[in-house]
Amino acid sequence: MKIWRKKQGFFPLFFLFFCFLSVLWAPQPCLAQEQAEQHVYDDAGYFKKKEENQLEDLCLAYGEEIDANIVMLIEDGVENKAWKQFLEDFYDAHETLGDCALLLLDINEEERRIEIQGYGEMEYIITDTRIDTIIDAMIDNLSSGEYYSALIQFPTLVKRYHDMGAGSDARTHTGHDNEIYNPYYYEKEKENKIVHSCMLALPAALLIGGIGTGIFVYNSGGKMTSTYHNYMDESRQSLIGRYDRYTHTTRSERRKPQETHSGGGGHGGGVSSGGSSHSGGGRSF
Amino acid sequence: MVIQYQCPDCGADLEFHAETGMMKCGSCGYEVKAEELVAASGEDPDAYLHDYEHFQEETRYHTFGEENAEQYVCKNCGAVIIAGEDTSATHCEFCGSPVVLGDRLSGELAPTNVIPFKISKQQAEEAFRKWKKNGFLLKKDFKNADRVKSLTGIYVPFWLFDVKAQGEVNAHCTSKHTYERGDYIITETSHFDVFRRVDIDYLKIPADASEKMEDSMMDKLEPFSYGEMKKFQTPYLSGYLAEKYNYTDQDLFPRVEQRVRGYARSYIRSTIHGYSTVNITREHLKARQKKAEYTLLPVWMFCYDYKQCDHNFYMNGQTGKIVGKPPLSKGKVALLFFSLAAVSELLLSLLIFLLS
Ligand SMILES: [Zn+2]
Ligand SMILES: [Zn+2]
Repeated sequence: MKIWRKKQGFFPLFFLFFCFLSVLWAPQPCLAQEQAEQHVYDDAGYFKKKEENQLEDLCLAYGEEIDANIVMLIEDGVENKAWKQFLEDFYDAHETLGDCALLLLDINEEERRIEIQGYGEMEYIITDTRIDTIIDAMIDNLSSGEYYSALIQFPTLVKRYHDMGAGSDARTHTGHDNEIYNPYYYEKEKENKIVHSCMLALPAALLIGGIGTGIFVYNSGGKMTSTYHNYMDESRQSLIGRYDRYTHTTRSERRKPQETHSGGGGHGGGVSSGGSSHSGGGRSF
Repeated sequence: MVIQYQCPDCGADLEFHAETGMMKCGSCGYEVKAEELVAASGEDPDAYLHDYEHFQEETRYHTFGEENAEQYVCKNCGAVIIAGEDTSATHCEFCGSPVVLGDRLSGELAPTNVIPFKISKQQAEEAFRKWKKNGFLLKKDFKNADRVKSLTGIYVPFWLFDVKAQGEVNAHCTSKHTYERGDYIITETSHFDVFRRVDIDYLKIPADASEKMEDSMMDKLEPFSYGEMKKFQTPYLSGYLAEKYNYTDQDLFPRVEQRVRGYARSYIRSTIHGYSTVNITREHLKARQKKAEYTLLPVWMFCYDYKQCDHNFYMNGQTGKIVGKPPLSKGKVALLFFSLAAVSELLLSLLIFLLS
């Protein structure tokens, strides 16, 4: 009771609360990704102009929605089969790509390879394991040579993962030789976590406030202080019969929660020679 | 039957003095113990029996209207004493002399016990002012203003019940034991069949028997300390207001019974411990009245004029505990709510943030 009498004690708390809220709800810095001029590079000359345009439109449309560049390269043979290196070099050469989901389709009959990498924010969206799943989804079309059908799947798959948020293996890129945190992602993730924590705490906080205030208001007119002890004749035995009989025991088992990170990924990620960390994965078909 | 106590030295009125617990003369300072005064005057509790019978008849067979109410006359000034139907002690409106209406305190209306006032009018006023000042949620102008319209010391009629509660309870209780083996967490739950039989005597549970007093307020005034309870004697009422009961002990027992059941339940529950879950499967409780004693308990009543509205506050005339419904400041209530919510929001979200 005594604390609350000191009115000065209140206002700092009050202000603290509002500062806290204003930090949370302050307009976030605009970090929108500028769309690249070209999203589809058909170096192999495989697609008809119309198909290429449709792919281009698709990449642009989905890219705008997820605020990242979705870029596809179609090659006929890659030097030394260094697909991973090829994409890294491509990304380094196109500085403006920023947050980018990069796909390489090598249609050379001897090579037949798909390689996908995620840069910037996309590194945490299409993680190594997710890239695996994306390729799983596309592999049938690829094996049967339906390249167009396979490629139009890609932007939708990326968007789907974008909507799901960062992947669970995003933070522990143990597969990387050289782990570099994307500061943008890190900040954003932290913000998300703060907002999330606040949202979770809010109902409970309101409840506590309500109950606490209720008790104060209820007791403002004096409270009932007599309890069941007050009038009991303690001089005589009140409990005249008792037993606590054990009957039986039931057992239940459950597995310990496993602390393992969903592993398996990590083989395709890395850092480009230009210093850009990325997720990645590829498969031959 | 009007009783007035006069100072043997100077003839002025003797009043019961809360601070000393003595009968005191206001003009010369003469003091005498209440018991001695009774013995000296040869006062006999049954002396009013005749008057009481007369009174009983009146109440039973006639409508006890204002016009045909028995007239009481002040021995001091000869004026007619104006007293409400239920009043058993008051002051003469003309000369201010304390009067006790003996016939309303005899026979069936004779209180068994009384707890005399321990807190004087002055102490009560001071305590109330302090209480107001410390009330955190109270409206500011209410806190600062000083508008006690009246401050009256009343002996409120209560029945003090002795109740026997008997009962049996069966419960299904479990206790859990958790341990790890290999990759598994194993929980073993032991089940118990628990039984309790109680026979509890509750002594002197008070229930307010006055129509005028709000039950919830009177309940909150508890506890009274029965160590200072005295056998009833009229001098204790001199200088205060007193009321006679409107409800008999039979009228009030259902309320007390409910309370006793709650008490018994809490007690039984307190004897079942050491389990992780307790589930009452059968409960059989009964409460029986053993005795009820008519007792007058001291209450200071503050009538407080605030915004053309009377707020009543009550103080336990023995312990000084204050109850009432004070006007609360909405702003302060809101402030309290937001502050509590803000602090818990801050702490909780920090906790969640750190744990996640
Ligand atoms: Zn005197
Ligand atoms: Zn008079």
